[in-house]
Amino acid sequence: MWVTADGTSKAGFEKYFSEYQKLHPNISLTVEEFPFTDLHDKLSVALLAGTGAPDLALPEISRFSLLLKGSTVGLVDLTDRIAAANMNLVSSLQNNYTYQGHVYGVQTDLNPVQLYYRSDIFKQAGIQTPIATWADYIKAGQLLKSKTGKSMIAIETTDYDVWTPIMLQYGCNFFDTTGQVALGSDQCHKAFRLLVSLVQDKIAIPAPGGDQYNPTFWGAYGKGDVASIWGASWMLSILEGFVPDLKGKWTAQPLPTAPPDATIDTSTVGGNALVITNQSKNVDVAWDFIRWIVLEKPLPDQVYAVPNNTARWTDPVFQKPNDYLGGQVIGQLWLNQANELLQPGTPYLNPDPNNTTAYDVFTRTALAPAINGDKTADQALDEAVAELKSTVGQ
Amino acid sequence: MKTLVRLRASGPQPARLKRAIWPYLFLAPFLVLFAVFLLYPVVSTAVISLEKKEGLGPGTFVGLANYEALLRDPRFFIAVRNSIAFTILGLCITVPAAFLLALGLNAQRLRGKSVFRLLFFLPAAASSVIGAMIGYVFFDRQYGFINTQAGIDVPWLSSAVLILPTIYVVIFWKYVGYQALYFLAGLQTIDREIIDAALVDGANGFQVVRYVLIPLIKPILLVVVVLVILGSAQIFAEPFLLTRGTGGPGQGALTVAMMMWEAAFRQFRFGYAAAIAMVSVFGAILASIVAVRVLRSDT
Amino acid sequence: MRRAVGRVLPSLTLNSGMTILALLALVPFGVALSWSFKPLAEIFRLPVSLIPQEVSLQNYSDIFTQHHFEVFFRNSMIAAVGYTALGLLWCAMGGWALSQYKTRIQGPLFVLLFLVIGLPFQVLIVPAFGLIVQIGLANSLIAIIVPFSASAYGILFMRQYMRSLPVEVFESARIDGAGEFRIWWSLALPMSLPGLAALGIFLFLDSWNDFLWPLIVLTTSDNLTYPLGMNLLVGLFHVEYGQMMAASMLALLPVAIILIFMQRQFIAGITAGAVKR
Repeated sequence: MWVTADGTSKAGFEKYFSEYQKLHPNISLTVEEFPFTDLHDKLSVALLAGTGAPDLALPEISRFSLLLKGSTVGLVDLTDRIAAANMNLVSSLQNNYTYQGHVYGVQTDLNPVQLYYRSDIFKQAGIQTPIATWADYIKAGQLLKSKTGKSMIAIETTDYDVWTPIMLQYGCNFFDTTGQVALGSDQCHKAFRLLVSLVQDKIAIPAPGGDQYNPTFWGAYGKGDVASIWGASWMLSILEGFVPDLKGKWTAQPLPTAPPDATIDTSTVGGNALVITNQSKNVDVAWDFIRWIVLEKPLPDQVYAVPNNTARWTDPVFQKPNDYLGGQVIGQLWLNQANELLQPGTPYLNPDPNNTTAYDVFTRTALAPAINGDKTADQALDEAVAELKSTVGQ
Repeated sequence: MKTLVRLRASGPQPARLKRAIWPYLFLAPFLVLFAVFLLYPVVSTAVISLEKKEGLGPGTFVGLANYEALLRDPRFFIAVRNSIAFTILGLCITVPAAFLLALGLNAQRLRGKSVFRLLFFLPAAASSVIGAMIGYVFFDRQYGFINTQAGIDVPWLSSAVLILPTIYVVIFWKYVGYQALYFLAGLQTIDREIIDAALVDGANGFQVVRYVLIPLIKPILLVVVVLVILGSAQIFAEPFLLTRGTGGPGQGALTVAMMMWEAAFRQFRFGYAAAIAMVSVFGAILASIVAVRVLRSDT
Repeated sequence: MRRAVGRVLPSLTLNSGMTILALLALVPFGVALSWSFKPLAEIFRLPVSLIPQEVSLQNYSDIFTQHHFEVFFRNSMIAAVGYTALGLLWCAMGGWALSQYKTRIQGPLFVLLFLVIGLPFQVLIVPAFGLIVQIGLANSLIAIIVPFSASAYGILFMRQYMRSLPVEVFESARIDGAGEFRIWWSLALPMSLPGLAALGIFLFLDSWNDFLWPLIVLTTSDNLTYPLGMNLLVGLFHVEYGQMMAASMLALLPVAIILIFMQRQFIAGITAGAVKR
């Protein structure tokens, strides 16, 4: 099985499997980890080549589309198995892995997005919390800047985990459901303008080191130069890992909104799906492991996501206060937001075989130049739209 | 059986036949591999570049559409610009530096020549990947060797302007010794008496180099120049590793070889990738021809 | 008197100047070596010191326990040795044919070989990948050993070398009734050993350092080569400069050994073509 080398997936799945193995002692699993881009690059080439792929893999949603390339999909169609297993999956989430009517993956978790902020710094600057709208967020940022000189957020230029939640909250998508480029839409322009304006108004800085996966990025947070960040539930594990000294100083709240364009106070970013490749000689065994993960896997003492199985949302683990967030019952906030994400019409990334390309094009042609101040938001976005259209042949 | 062999071996006709077959037998394995894995793919790339071909399935003929798309792709021009920048830096800095280095290595009075050669050629023999790894340790903004030791804060790898020169430094380090090797081999074939004669005639060191040595090693110079041009067209590992496969901030270090890899193996646009390959290869060959012409005419 | 001074001075400047340059060329390796012995905490601690304050072998053990550089090393070794052996065989056979016999294909073949020698690799990569997939060799070491072992540079190099061998020896052997294969195998090959050594080093390093082609055809971690293993370190969640340096130092080891013990052949292998052309 291939997973991303993110510091937790390999150990996590090895642990799950050892539990699973107690029930099925005669099977074994080797978990191999690859860096994020390499995992998806290698997996897609292996699927194309028809050899060299593992039985199971855990690709990430933004790069899942790479696996749909080629004349035939190299993944096992799970549609019937999922239907038979009665899994209570969140259907809008599963849409991401549905291509031409076939479901090829089971996302492990939901990742509702919150705003995490330094309660100590906000209090010092006299910022009222919770922050309800993006306009309030900007006002708070101006207050923070004038009182303390600190910034509200560091915005990534080489990755898209800050962008995706805003994009989806505004109902922006790279492609519409028919596969046409939709990145030039009004919603996208509005979402992108909001993000870029934060930097222009000097309440946000371009991310030091480029993205959240660079130690320099967290250096700025560790020093207290930056006071908030939005991210999915797993952001909590990143905070705990990269800035452990700030324990007790963070609080989470729902994502600010911007009526009438962005009304929902959450969004989603990231997520990994379990897939079985059609090179596997043990499809049934691999599927049974997936089924067990979704239905029976014991939840750990500390969760960082909401399982993609609504039947498990009543688990007491979600009512546990979290020490890192100063005793906040974060699980309940996640569940509330997860329930919102269940509503019909909630924006999700439209599945499209070119989403990965779109992410890459957007990041290098729109995000980086606009956040770095080389281009205006509209100009950069228009260029990205043009490049995306020509890349996918529209 | 035995008789047969003897009969065939003794007759004049079979003997000649034998001689005529042997070279083909010796060449056969080479020719088979060469034809299958070199000639066929090269020709095939030309064909695929005229097709819309995504993934490994059959493509459909689209004429020059891929080439037209290339001309409308601003990234391609960035990639070409960067590859040309690497070429120019290589020709204007690496080649002269390598020549000077070779002069030093060839100097009679240099002691411990083989040790020196060893030291300068070690980077050349090390892989590009090692160079890129060390590049990270040198040019990391916060914890890198250069910034911490010089007490400066230069965004070597995170600036759209600086990333290409920074990567070029890594490439220079690797190839200067390699090219010096060529020049050295050429210089060693030059008769010392020619140089001494020039010195006796009152030429100074610079004049000897300019009017005696350079014309004499011009064939080598041509080889090195062509190597640099063709080599620059395929720079891949260093920028790929030092930008984590992205091309860097503002695509400042995207090369044509990287763009081609990305089109082929991350976007699976094989037809488009083949067109990139064709253009870059023909560009490099054309540049080589021009460079050789220019150098030949200039004496 | 003046002349003597004039000679001593530049010779001092020359020697010390070259020493400084050589040291400069070595600084990166020195830094790499130093960093490879630093524990992780020290690498990301300011101020950064040149000499590790605490010498640790942790990085060297981590690349074998956390990552599988022993597998990558083995794969690279198998690939490089296999590639070298095959390359030498094809080139020694083909080079022999081109140096000893006149054939009709000789002229066009030379043109082709010279054309291909400097051709940027990207021009054949897409169809070559398709071919490897069709033959069913994707993600196998054979895919990086066999296909490009027919080296255009190698065959021209061996042809050049074998042309310099004394023809009389082979002619007298023919008169004594030796077969063509025997002449090649027991006379020409032993006489070509220095040339084979030079070409062998060239081919070995070519394979040992190769990056792009293995990156495309190899996927599973039990088949990755050493440079690909190092590539994985670059993309990791936590940047491990210490491990990157330790891995680099180990990758350099075979290269350094070859250079130290076979410097002459190494140089001959790279430059022979340039001088002769």
